[in-house]
Amino acid sequence: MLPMIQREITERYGWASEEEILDYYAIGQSTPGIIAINTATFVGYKKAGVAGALAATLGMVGPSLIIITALSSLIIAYRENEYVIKALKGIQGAVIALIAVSIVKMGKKAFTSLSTYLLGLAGFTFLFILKLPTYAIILGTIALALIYIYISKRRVR
Amino acid sequence: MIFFELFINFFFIGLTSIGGGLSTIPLMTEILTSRGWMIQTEIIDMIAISEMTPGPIGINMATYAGNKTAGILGGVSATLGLVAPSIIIIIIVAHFYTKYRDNEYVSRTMKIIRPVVTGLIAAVCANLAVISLLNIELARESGSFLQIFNIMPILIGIIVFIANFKFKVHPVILIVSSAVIGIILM
Repeated sequence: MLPMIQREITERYGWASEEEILDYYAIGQSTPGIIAINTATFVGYKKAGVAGALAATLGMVGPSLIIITALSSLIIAYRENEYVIKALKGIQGAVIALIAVSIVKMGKKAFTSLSTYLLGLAGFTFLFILKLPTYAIILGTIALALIYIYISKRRVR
Repeated sequence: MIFFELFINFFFIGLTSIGGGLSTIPLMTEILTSRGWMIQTEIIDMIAISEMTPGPIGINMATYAGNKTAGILGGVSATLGLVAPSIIIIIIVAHFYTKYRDNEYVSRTMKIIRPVVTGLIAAVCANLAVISLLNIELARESGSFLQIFNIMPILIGIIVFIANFKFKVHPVILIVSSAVIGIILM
């Protein structure tokens, strides 16, 4: 999605420079939430304050709201239809495969050393085998990460 | 009230989804199934529809889940809940973003959280695979080990993985063709 945002924002409307957009995207990646939404909110806020942030966010979710609302009412209405049931069954394997592809792609960025592989394995084990609550794993990771960074910084000094 | 409940739950999902891509999936799956708003196979439908339609997949899933739970207003509540933390956090961060960007705590925490989230998504994927690709009950009843595998979905899955990963075939084409195969062969 970044190339499209970049083209529209910098070339077509001139709302931000090429460099600024890359900055916004970098921030969007390291703040909680959907990256595309974060980036759009950032551009909107820089350009027109809080109202701009709201406008950009709503613009970004608008198409999803309209298309998904229409599609999901159709699916929910016809969920018992024989063909829909068969089609959704056919899709199951495909969806799992597509998630697997995303995991491999995310993994290429995330797994850069032995310790990151171990972190990934820990996340998998905590959820799949130990069935710990997801939010506890995420918040626990953040808390431990902050403590670890704090200690390692003190040690350097 | 259901709309408020959806908003709050998706607000929390937005707040803890870090790392982009499918990072909303683990917590969303957990919340939707534990509150009885959806069952696992419906989660798969949700992901399929959200992959196929334009727009960020996290937003699409929120709209779908909200719709399924409480109609059109439910979809709007869930979606607004998911983006609300972004709006608040970005507005705060925008004031000192060069400092934030270069902050060691932020960048190093991200490096640590990303692999963990990838592991969480893999766990959800494995859970969904166990449900839709394996027939544990059937195999137990018949006592035949081979019956444990749901051959058709597994075959479709392998083909789709290779087609998307190696040959970059668009997800929409793959999902639609799998649906057609399902209608014809299953």
